[in-house]
Amino acid sequence: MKSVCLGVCACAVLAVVLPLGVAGEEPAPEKPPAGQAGGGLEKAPELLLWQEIPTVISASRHEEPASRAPNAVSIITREQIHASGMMSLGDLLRLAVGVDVGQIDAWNYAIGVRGLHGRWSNNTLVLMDGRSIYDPMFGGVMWGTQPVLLEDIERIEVVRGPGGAAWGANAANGVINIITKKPGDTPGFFLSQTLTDRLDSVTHMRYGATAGPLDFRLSAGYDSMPEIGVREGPGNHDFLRLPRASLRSTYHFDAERSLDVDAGYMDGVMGGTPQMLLFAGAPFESARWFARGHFLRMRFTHQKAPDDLWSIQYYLNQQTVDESEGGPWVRYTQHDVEAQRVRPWGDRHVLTYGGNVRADYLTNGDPPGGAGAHGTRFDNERSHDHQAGLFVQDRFEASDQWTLLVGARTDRNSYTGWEWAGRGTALYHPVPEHTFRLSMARAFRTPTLMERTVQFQAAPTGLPFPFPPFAMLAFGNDDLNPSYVKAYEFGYTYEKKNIRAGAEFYWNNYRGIIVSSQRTAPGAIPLVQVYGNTIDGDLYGFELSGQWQATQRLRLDAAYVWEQWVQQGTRAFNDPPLWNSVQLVPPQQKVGLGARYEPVKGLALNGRMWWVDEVVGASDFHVPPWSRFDFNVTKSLGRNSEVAVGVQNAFDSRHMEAMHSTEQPLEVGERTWFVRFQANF
Amino acid sequence: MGGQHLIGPVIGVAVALGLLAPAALEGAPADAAKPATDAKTVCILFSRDLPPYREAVEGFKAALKGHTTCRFLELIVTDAEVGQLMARVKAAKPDLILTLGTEASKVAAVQSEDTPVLFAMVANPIDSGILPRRSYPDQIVAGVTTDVAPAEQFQAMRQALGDLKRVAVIYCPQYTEATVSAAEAAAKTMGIELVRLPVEPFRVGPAVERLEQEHVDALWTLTDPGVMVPASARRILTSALKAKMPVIGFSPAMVRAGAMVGLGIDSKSIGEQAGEIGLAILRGEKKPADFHLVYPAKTSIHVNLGVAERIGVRLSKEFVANATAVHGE
Repeated sequence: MKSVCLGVCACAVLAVVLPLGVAGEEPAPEKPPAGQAGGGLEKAPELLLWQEIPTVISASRHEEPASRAPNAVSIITREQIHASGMMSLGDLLRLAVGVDVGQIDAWNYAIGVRGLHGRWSNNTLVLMDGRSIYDPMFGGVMWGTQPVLLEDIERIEVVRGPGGAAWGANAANGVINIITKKPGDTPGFFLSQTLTDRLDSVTHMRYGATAGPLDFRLSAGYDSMPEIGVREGPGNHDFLRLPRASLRSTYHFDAERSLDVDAGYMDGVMGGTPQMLLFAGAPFESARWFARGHFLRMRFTHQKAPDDLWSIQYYLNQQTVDESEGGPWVRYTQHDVEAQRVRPWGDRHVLTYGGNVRADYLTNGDPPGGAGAHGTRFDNERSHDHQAGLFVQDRFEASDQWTLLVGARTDRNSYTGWEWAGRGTALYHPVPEHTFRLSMARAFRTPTLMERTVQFQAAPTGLPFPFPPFAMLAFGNDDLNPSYVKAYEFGYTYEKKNIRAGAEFYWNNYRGIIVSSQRTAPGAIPLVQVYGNTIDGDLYGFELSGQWQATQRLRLDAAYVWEQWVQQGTRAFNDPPLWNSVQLVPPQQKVGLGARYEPVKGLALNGRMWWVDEVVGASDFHVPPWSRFDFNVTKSLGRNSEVAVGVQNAFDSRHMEAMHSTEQPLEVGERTWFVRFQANF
Repeated sequence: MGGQHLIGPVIGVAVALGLLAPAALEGAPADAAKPATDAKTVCILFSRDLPPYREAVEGFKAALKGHTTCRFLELIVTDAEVGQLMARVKAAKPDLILTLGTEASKVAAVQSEDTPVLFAMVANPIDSGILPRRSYPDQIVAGVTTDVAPAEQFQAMRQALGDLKRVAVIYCPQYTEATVSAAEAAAKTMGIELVRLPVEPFRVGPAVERLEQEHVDALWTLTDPGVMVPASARRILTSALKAKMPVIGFSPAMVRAGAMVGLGIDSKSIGEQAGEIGLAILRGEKKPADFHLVYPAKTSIHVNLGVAERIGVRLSKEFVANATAVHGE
């Protein structure tokens, strides 16, 4: 019955979007000269002289360069990715302004846009090529286990500020959009091998080719990272061994229509901190758990111009986490169908509209030994969600100097009902170099499956009845409401040929942030926690950034962020402040400086420095300020290969950055020397 | 005695007249000869029936008028099977074959045995195989291309920007390698580095991404059928606009669409140029090898002020005043 409803909803979305897309199609922009039979430019290139091309000067008013987007946007380019020497997706996000990154252990990161980051950063939506990789179980991303290889990434766009108007739920603080290279852009063989003095190894192999209208790329990689965390007490086993593979392919029907088919697989063995293992249901002595995941994505696009296209997409995400010895297993499956149309409307408007339907299924089970072991369980009967959403956005070029963007989205999911998000932005660009932006937005985050249905028990007491068998219990709450954020933003961007500078000021007002709150008196056994919408608060801040191509060989960039969290008070007895949840209070200040210098062709020196203020985490634990300096030298070895040698954390070895929920943080950031070899064939 | 002594002189005079008469007649002025002997036959082959080709033919005929008498045979290549068409051409025994467009030029260059072939309104004639890279004495093909001389295009952009050191070009080697090589040589003489960004047909993505990293002063575009289909052209222009990079457009349409500066051609003027070349060939004064590849003499400068403003280029009033057409105001 549910499948029938899902299918009906999917058809409804398509029935709304596609006819509008087809009916609204404009005539083909180019008209061949009179008498021309049509086509055959290869035979008669002079015909190009009389070919009319729709003007892009108006298209550029519809295009969205970063300075003209409705949100503040940070972009990490593939050149920056390559120059950074980073070996993990989590580390890469340090390059973006406004993203808080704290390494928890070898492969876990607390990442969030404008704070509220944590092991499960559930206020930042993360997409990869239009596919959500936001885990609906826990609300967050398993950064270390995504089936993507860093050298396959074209760019990472970080949208700062609520993005719910376009993307719906869970984009409360922002959106991280990871875009991989088009398969046609990566022909030939490619090999990359990175080794560190800690014996980390990152191997990446890739083969891409074009066969007529088909472009494809096969990538495979293997990451091996030994344990890094150091702490007292129970041993830390945060190693990672992760093989992964992916396929990207594009079939070009013609210059305008294409079909993308992507797939990926990962099958990893990893360890974790005792808290992580406990959460997964493993005894303290257990040293490993297994994660397997795969995805499939299919997308058909018909694009006449950057502002005139329609597309339809389906994707499947599936991930299983289980223990080899003891402990339950958890599997989630996500199906999503989405359609979108972008089209000019008159001479001054560009409309974007569309919708999606999504189904999330979570199942879990007990180990062969049967129930009764400690660990995390979900109520299978309630662990599924169905969601459908519709969105529309209008970009209106009111005049040569004013642009207005208005967007709204409504979603309905199976447990909280109807929700809506919106954004209104006014852009003022009196002269091409200067852009001012004023924006208001509303977004929401829906409760995760864990927050709604979890039954968590841990720390067996070993005591007989009537004593409680477990010292710690946590329960989901099926009466949770979404949490909401309203944001008010002012931004300024200056762009000239070699310089780009920006300033963003923002105020986010949060209502009903979901945290796990203690429901028993301090010291009571068992300790009982229940999820609730308990925290309201405000986040104020500003971000300053600049990039300068000083000379043809020297590029500099800098960023400074200041932000302040102010909690408005809690709603229930003994509710803790924000830092007793999985989320962290953001550091009040962050500084980043970077430089790239190419003294001669084929030789590049890259340096980057960060300083991050203290972070407050669980149990009011203060993580002290820390700094980090990375440096590497890259040298070309002929036309098709290069070697890089560098160091990460050169000066401040061993520091804490973030913790996982209620546990004290590990020391990470050991000074690490690395060498990387890459070759194209 | 009687008239027998006159037979010898009469025979002698008759032989002399018989020997001298052809020479006398051969040396006679052309306009004194009968018209049927001086009239030339020119076969005009159209690739397609297009207005620009017709304008070029108009100019061609105007250049010949008053200087020679011609009989014209006009045929459209796409209207007939090539074999039949060339049979008709051969039957007409033309003194010159004028071709309009690439398709007709290729047919004539291959099929014509020794009749001179003069092309007009052809883009990238060397890449199309119509002309060899260098002229050779016996070649029978020459003509006027629609490609504006690269040096002229670079000069126009240099005047607009004040200086020009590095220029990028996105091109498909299988279609425009020779054209780009010639442009590179011309740029070098002007102290300009031409940065090549070769692409596979219709795969401009990698080149567009590299464009922003190359730190060039301008992007030069050409009539490359593997690059300049509308969707790709828009992508290139959009990216250049976003990167605030001036573009040298290959046509007024490109300037209207988003190139900052471009040079346009005049079809009739190209025909007139072809007519002057044809006249010299028909008169036997010159051979095709003496011309080889001729660039258009008459060009027009098109400027897009909206683009210039958008990318922050301040064009001098003098430059704008000298432009033939101004767009984007």
